[in-house]
Amino acid sequence: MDRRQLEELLEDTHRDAYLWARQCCNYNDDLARDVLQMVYLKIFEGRARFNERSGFRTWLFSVIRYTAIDSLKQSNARAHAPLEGDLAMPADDPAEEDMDYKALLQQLPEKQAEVLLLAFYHGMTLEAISTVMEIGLGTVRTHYDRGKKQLKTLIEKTKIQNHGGR
Amino acid sequence: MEEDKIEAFFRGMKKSDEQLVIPPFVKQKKTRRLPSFLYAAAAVVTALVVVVYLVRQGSVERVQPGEVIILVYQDAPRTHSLMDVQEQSLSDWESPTDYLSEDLE
Repeated sequence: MDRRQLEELLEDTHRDAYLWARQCCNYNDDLARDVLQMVYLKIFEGRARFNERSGFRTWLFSVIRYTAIDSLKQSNARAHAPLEGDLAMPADDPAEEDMDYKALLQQLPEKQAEVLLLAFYHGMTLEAISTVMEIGLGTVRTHYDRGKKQLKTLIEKTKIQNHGGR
Repeated sequence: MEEDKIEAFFRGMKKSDEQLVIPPFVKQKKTRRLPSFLYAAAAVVTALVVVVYLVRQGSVERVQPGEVIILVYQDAPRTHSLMDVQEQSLSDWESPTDYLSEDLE
């Protein structure tokens, strides 16, 4: 794959890549921007190479994830850790669009949230998720099932709180 | 049923993310990297240039002294230098042990 093809693929997946970088960086836009820039640099300098063993998007998401983990370690940021007062608060309007998605997901264990984001937000298969996260398929299934149950409980709890708050 | 709720949750999340400002994709500038041996060659050439420059500077100083002073000590005692020895022809030459042969006669 030559540089031009690589650039085209990256441009096509840029939006998804940015959103995934943001989700990996605890929804920090500045950090996500830096991480994505580092990822592109890694790719163009040949430090991260696409070996075509998986889909391009799967591979890119994996590079983003590991770069974000390294960046968060360096910046001592608290990845995926819910901030005090940042949890799902009862909104005035219980409409779905007012739900604090970020805060709800942050209440889930890190890996469960990642699996659910990759599966439902980014539409990846469980096999692709196991490649991105470099964990076994069985482990992905476990995180997927537990995550769904926990998230459902949280959604219901938030809705009850929202209705109660009115 | 469970799946529907989860899907609706993520649909809502995606919808809210549509308002996000995505930074534009910046095409990377091509950086032509020279082969590593060229860096080594450049370092050697630079070192040589510096050495040649320093050597030339030193030699110029030696070649162009500001002033040359020759000290001549006129009252110095004469020494028997080779210049004072008068040349003798072969016929004038007398052997320092000539007298020994004379005695024998």
